[in-house]
Amino acid sequence: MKAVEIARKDVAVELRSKSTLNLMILFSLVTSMMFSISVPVSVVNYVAPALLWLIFIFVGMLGYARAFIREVELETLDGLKIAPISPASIVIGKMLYNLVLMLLTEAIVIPIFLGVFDISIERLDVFAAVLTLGNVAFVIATSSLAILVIKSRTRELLLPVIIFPVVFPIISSTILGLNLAMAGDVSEITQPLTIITSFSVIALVIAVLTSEYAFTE
Amino acid sequence: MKAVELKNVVKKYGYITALKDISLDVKFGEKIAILGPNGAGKTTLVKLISGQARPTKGEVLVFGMKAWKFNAELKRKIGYVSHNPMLYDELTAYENLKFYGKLYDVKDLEDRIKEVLMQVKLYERRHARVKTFSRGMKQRLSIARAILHQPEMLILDEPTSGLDVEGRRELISYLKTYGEGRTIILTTHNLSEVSLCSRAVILFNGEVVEDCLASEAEERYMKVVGIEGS
Repeated sequence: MKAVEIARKDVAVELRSKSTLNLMILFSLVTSMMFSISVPVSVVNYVAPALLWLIFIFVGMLGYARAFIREVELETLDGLKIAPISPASIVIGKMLYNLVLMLLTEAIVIPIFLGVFDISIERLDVFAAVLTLGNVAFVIATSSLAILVIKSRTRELLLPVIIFPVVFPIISSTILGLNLAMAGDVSEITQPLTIITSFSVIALVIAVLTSEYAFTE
Repeated sequence: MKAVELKNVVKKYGYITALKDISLDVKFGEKIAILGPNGAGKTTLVKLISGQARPTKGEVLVFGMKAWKFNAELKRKIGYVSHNPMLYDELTAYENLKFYGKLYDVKDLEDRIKEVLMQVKLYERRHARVKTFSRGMKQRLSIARAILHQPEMLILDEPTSGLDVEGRRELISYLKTYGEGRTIILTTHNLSEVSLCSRAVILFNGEVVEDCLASEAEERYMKVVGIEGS
């Protein structure tokens, strides 16, 4: 429950400052528009999943790590560290907050992306499920890595460098799943979904186990 | 029983040794000032006591419990005020206290928030965002945050840093009032603030060089640091 309080507080702070959400949505829209101008209609169905993921990955890198970095910069993380809440609750609270950001961004970006590209999707339900699951895994992985780099002075530079190799299984599996959903061939959807889910569980366990180390000097 | 017990504590950050073999006891209800120039190790010492840092060597016990091991019961016994108010600028004074109150499981939270806001004279501004507050008001709200859960011990890490003379005087007066009956550990390099305490420990280059009565602190500090009082 303490994790929910932390997430609720972060949402309230973000809805007032809008510093992260505005950046994420603006970046998503600008990139969608740029892709819609430059990508030929004949190849759209082949590259759409990768383009959509590209947007979410960069948006996520801009936004998700901010949940921790902002607390470090404003020194409010110390207030959480001295409170009677487990370090794991802080991490899970940040993940919940990032999930809210992610769902808000998805709700705005996906309809616009599908609209500007006029993509045909055979199984929209599976498409949405794979995309959301992939994004959840990405949030968990980014948040887990963010707590490991918060002690570093070069954290904002370090995070993007270490994140790509770590999240590659999520990226490739999500793109595979999105392609299958677009083609309507969902008989082999279990494989990418299993990889994404397993990865999420492993990243979550690592985040919880390393949280005490990450928050103690 | 001792409120705080440090046994041969060493704290290193990489190659830098911030604290060298410190041993120190603080009794229940005792008010102790940790004096020292910048870089003496004062903040490191209170971070160890508040559980934000773990010792490289030695042991830090607070109320008989290991300070750096997560322990909700121990954390509820400690209130912490530092030069950084640890408040969220985008939230109001009330929302900040409500957030922290929920983290500390404060009973009758609404009544308690009202009580502490009245005590620090910020009740009228309870619905104003913290970013509109002056530095002095933020520090008063920080005291309200620290005493909200009625801790047994207050750790004050250079709480008056960055305040003007009037702000300092006002804050010290609040701390005198709310420190009644509590164990207080105050770090400062300002000798006028030592009046809050009965005992003074002088840190220099990560070592305890003096442990004396607060009334003797000024003379001893001058001797150790070799400068005019700050």
